[in-house]
Amino acid sequence: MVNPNRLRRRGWFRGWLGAVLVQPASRLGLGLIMIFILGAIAHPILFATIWPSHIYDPRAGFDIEVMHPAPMSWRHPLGTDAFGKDALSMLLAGTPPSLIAAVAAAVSAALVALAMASVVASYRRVGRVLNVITDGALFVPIPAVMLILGADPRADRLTPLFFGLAFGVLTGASSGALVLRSQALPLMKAEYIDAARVAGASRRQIIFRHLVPALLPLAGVYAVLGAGGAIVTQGFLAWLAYTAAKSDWGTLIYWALTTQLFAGGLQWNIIIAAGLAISLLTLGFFLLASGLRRAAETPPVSLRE
Amino acid sequence: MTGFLLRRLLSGLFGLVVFASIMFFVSDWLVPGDFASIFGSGAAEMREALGLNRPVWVRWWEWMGQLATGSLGTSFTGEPVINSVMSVLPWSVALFALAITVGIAIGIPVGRRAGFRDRPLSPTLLAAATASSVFPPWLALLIINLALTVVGFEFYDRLRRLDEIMWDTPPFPNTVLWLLVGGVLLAGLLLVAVARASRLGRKPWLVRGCWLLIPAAIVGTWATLGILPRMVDLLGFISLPVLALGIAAAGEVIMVVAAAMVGSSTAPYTQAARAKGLSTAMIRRRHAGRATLLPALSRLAAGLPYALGGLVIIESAFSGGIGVFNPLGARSFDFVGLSSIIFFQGFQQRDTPIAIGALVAIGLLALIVRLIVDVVHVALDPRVEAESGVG
Repeated sequence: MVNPNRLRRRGWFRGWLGAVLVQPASRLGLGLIMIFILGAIAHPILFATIWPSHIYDPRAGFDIEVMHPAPMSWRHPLGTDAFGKDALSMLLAGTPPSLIAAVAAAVSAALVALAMASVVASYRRVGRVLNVITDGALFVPIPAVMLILGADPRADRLTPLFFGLAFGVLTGASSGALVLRSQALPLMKAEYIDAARVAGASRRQIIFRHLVPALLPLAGVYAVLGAGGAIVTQGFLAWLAYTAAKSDWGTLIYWALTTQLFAGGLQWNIIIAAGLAISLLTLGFFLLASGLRRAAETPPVSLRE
Repeated sequence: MTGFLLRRLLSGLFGLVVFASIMFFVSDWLVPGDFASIFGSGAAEMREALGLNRPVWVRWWEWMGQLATGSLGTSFTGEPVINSVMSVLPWSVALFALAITVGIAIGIPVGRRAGFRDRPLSPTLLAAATASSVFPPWLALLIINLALTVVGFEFYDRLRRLDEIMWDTPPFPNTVLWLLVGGVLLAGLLLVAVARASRLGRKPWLVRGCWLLIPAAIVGTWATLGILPRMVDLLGFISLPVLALGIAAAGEVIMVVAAAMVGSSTAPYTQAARAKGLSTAMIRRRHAGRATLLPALSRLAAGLPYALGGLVIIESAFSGGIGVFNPLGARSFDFVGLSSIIFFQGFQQRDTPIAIGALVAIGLLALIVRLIVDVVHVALDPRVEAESGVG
C-alpha cells in the first residue's frame, strides 16, 4: 500500500521542481552545467575511441606532426600549448575537479546552513554560540581561509573534495546560516508549529517534519551559490598553484602565463578557454540559484491549492 | 540607535575574535611546518627562541592578550603585526570603498530598471550575472592587456610602478591615501544628505546642482591642499583594480536589486501610482525602488563574504613585482594590500601571526561596512532596531 504522506511529499517536490524549471534562468543555468557534465563524460570516451593517448593525453601528450603552440584546427580544436599538449583535452580533463568541488560545496553548504539555522531556531543556548560563529565567519574572506587550511602546497591537502567540503562549510556557516536563520526564527512562531507542539511533537519532530522542509528551497539557493563560489575560488587557488589537482582550469591559466616566454607570448587559446570555462560554469550555477530563488519565493502549485 | 549599534559592534567583534581563534588553532593543527622550519638545522633553536615549542593554547592566550591591547600580535620577525597591517591598510580600504561605490552607483539604477521590467533573461541581467561570475584573475588580465593597448606600455609601466616613481617624497603616501578615503566617505555622506533633500522634494534644481558640487568640492579640496597631481596619479594607479572589482560588484548589486524588484511592477501601490498619472521612471524610482531597498540591503549584507573574497582575489591578481610570485609577471601591478600580507608574508613565510592579524584587519573592515549597512537599515526602517534582539 502506498504511503499517502510519501505521495504528498512527492507531489510537493514535483510542484517545486516544476516551479524551478519554469524559470528561464534555471533552464539556461542547468543547460550550461549539463554541457560541462557531458564534457567530463565525453573525455574518457574520446580517449577510448578516436583520440590516440600519445597525442591527446592532457599530461604527457605530444603531436609530432604540428609546430607548438599550434593554432586552432580540426585536429586540435582549441590548439595546443607550448609543450604540445592538446588544449581541448586539458580543458575536458579539468572539468571533473571543478564539478566535484562544486557538488561537495553545494551539499556541505546546504547541510551546514540547515543544521545551524534549525539549531538556532530550536535550541536557544546552543543557538547563541552558533550565532557568534556565523557573525565571525561573515567577516572573513573565504579564499584567504582556504589558503590557510591548505597551507602546505607539498601536502596536497586541497583536493577537489576537501576543498569543496571546506568551502561549503564556510559558506553555509556564514551567509547561508544568516539567511536561513532569519527565515527559521519567524517560522518557529507560526501557528502550525504551535499546533504541533500542543499535539505533543518533540523538538526533533518539529525540526525534521516542519522546519527543514520549509527551509529546503532557500537552502538549495545557498547550496548552488556556494557551488559557484567554490569554482571561482578553486580556480583562483589553482592559479596561484596551491591546489592538489594538477589538471584543473586555474592551473591551465597559471601554466599559460608562466610559460609565456617559452611559448613566445601569451597563449590566448588556453587562457580564454580556461577562463571562459570557469566563468561559464560559475554562471550556470548562479543562474540556477537565481531561478531557485524565484521558485522559492513563489509557493509551488500544490501548496497554493 | 547608539545602543543598537554598540550591541552590533560588540557582537561582531566577539564573533570575529572567536572565528580568528578557531583559525589560530586550525592553522596550528593543519600546517605541518612552522616559521622556524625555514631555518633548517637551526630550527630547534629558533623554535625555542620564538616560543613555538610551547603548547598552542599558551600561545593563543598570549596572542589574545596582544589582541586586547590592539597590537594584533607580534610577527615572528619581531615586528608588531599592526605596523605591517597599517602600512597596506589604506590601499585595501581605498580599493574596497571605491569599487563598492562604483558597484552601487551603477548597480542600483540599472538593477531597478532591469527588475521593474521583470524579464528574467533580459540582456542586462545576463550581463550582470556574467560580470558577477567572471573569473577575477582572468578579468584582471584582460583589463591589463586592454590598458596596455589603449595607453601604451610606457604610460602603463609608469602607472603600475607608481610607488617607485612618484612616492619617494613627502607627503607620505598613506596620508594622501587616507585623504582619498576621507573624500570618498565625505562624498557618501553628501550623497545621503542630497538623497534626503530630494526625498523631501525641495527645489529639485538645487538637488541636481548638489550632485555636481560633490566632485567639484573634493577636487577643490585636493587642489587647495596642493596634492591634486598626486591624487590624479593615485586615481590612475588604482583605477584598474577598482575597475575589475567594480565590474564584479556592479554585477552583484544589479542582480540583488533586480531580484528585490521582482513583482513590484504589478504591485497594488504601483497601480495606484499609475492611476495618479505618474511616469514609469517616477514610479520606479520613488515607489518601487524605495519599497525594495530593504530586502536588497539585507541580501547585500549576506553577500559580504563574497565581496571580501572578491577583494582578496583582485588584490592578489594586481599584486606583483614586489619580490613575490605572481603569474601575471611583468604585466602585474605593484598593488600591495592586506591579501598580499596574508598570501606572501603570512603563508609563504609561514608567519601565522601576521596571516591571522591581517585576517582580523579585513574582518574589522567588513565589520565597519556591516555597521554602515545597519545604520542605513535602521534609518530606512526603525523596526529593525526594535526587533534586533530577535535574531
